[in-house]
Amino acid sequence: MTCPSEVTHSMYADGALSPRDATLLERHAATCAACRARIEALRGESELLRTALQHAEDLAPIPRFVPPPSARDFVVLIASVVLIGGFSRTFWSTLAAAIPAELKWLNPFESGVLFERATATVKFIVFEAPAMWTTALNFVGAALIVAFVAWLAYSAARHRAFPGIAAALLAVVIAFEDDQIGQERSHVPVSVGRRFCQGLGEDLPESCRRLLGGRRYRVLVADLVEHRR
Amino acid sequence: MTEVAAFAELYAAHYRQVRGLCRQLLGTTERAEDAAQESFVRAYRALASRDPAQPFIAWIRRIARNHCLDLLRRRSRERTIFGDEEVETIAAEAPGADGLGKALTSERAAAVNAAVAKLPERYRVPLALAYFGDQDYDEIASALGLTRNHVGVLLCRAKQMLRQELADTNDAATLRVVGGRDLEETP
Repeated sequence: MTCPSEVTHSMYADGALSPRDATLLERHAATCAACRARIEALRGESELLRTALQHAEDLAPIPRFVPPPSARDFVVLIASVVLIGGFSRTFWSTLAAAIPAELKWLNPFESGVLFERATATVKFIVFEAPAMWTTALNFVGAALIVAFVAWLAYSAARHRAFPGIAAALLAVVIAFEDDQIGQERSHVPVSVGRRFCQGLGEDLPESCRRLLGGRRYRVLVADLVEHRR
Repeated sequence: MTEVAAFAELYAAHYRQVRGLCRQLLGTTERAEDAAQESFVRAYRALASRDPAQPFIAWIRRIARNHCLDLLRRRSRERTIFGDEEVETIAAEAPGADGLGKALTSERAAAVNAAVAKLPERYRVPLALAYFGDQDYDEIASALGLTRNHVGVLLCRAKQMLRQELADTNDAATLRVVGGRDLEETP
């Protein structure tokens, strides 16, 4: 029999070989000094490993044992939450009562008002923003036209161009009535438009007829201006 | 004595040993601390179901072992921890790996422990269970889901790597003979 592998020796040294394999190895080792020495050395090695691992220096302090929360702890916790919640409700309502009316808006617990304002803001953005943007864009467009005209006039004057150009440009600017620039195509908010249209008599402008007819049609600022006249 | 106080005494008596087992299995002191704490918390919860005939230390060590193995498995879900038995066997019996050569000494426990900590998980875990946890090959095989032979191969490889690691440190005190005998001098 040739010498068994180190794995076999190692398992034998640890007492892990099957009885049959152990008997075979013992028979071989009886006649093989090298295997006997190796088995002996492996036994010593296992023992040294055991000693070394078991006696690893552990000087770290032992933390205090904290038992896990029990059912009673949960009951106490819930009771505490209820008590603290009840107390804080009283506390905040007392605090709210103590705040002067002028400073109410500072109180974050006036949630009803806050909620209403938040809702109104969202509604305004959703329903009125397009009209608002149209108005803003119209205004920006009108401002650009005025700026362009002013720049032309300034350039003409600076370069001593024909004074007639400047006069003509000035005439154009004056010719624009303020309600024709920006307001001609501007819309009013839907809610304002609806109120305006409902306040009119029989003689409804086209946009009002459409709006009151149930369509999402916007009333032009020009209509309002016309009505006031 | 209240139940908590009684358990706290057991905790104080066995905590270091459980933390040591966790450290050997997990490889780091920080993770061992958490694992040991968790093991005792689990033991405390399961106190009612404990068999009084079984020694507390054996029971808590089993809880700690299972918890640490769970942690290792969870961490290694994407890979196989213990590899293929045949591949390991070939590695264990490869030329040059055979023979004890230079080895360990009890005086150098710190060096040995440091070398064990450097072992890859697949070798460190069975080594810790065998030589720190005092478990036999069948118990280790059952806990790790391996065959007994595979455990033998892994332990053999672990010891070969330890010898190599300790020899590489060139620590004269560590390079002692095993069991009072240097195998290189054996016939």
